[in-house]
Amino acid sequence: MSYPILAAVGGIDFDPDYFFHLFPKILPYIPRTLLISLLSLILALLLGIILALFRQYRVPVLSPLTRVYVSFFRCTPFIAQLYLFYYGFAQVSHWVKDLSPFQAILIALSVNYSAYMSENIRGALNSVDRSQYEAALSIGMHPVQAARRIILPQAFRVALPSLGNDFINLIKSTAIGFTITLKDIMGVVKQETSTTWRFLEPYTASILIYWVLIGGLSLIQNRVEARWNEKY
Amino acid sequence: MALIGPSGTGKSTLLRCLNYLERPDEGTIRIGPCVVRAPRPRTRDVYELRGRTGMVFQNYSLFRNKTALENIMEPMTVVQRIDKETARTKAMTLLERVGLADKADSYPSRLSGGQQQRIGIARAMAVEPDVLLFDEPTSSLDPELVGEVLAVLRDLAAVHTTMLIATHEMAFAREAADRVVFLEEGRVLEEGPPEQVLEHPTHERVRQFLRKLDREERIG
Repeated sequence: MSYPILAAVGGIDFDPDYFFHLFPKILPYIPRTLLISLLSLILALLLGIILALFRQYRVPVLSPLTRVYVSFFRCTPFIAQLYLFYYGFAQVSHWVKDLSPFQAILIALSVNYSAYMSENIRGALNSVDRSQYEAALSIGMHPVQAARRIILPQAFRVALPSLGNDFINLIKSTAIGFTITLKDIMGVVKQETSTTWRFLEPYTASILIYWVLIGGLSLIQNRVEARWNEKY
Repeated sequence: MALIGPSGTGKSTLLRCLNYLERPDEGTIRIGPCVVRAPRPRTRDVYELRGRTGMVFQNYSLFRNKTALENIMEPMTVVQRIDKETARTKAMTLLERVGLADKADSYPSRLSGGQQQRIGIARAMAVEPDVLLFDEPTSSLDPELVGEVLAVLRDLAAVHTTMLIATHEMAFAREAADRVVFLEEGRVLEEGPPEQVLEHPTHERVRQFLRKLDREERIG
């Protein structure tokens, strides 16, 4: 054993050699995890904005439906939603049956997080007082100009911290993908454990990778927020 | 022209209708050649109306994501589509008129209420309106800041800017207005030059209102 000191600590059955050899196996799957997270973030954000606008402008029929939608996705476990969609709906829909795990987790994450985001976005829109909108109209702006130049930039700043948190939660949620055989960081680790029957090293390695990855992103998030806040 | 009357009597609503922020149930708004027929006006007419009226809000309602100068430039660059440099020069002139040239790059959050309201007036003037509408421009200000805003209004009155002001500042109305209109419950109760309406009102209701304000002023 090349790390006698580590291995000697209390006689713990931890193989450092094996541990370090895991990284080259896991690291290539980071882009996959990030890709799923980023794509679902974009889709969830777009969907979330649309849902928020339905609620905000009390669009008939769609506004109450949005309420049901938000309630459903917030009040049921994500893994249950994923299973119902991927395994349950596959029973009745060829389209779902033909989805790859990648596509399935992308769809499930997007619709789930859009529910959370729509609530955050609505709160942010409400935080910009209505009188600024009226002031924009009073100087002759069109409603779309008022939204784009005055309301949305301010709402975005308010929404930024919660959207950042949503993104971090989203990355963590991608780990559930392994339950439907998605091959991402967690998926490759799961595969490893089922061939070597060692658990401590692979799960430690994967959790460290998640920690460093998301820790780094949250540092970037702080920077971005600080930059948006210094202006006004 | 000064609009006076008890709170909740329709002064703000009237001004907001003139800017079409509020949709009147019926009637016609006529400013110069611009005619807006409520309640179903042509969209084009509404935009023309807004170009002919400049609104100053009780709570200033400045764009909080824009500097003082940018607030004043918005109507020029976005609505009138004047090029940026010309707009900047014109906006600076307006800032000087309200005495805030040194605050050009400040965001509203860094300005006092009085300063914000003076920017608000400059922004309304940037529309180059035929008439400026003031919705109780001093009533959310600390007493010591009222003076600076009234000073700007006096300057505007001195160069014969057409202004319609909803106000509780009777002394100011007496001194600066050509006409005073007393509104109650949505109706014009009395109308005329300030000496007549404020000194010798014909309606008992107007007399009561003025006496009450007078008393409050002496106590306050």
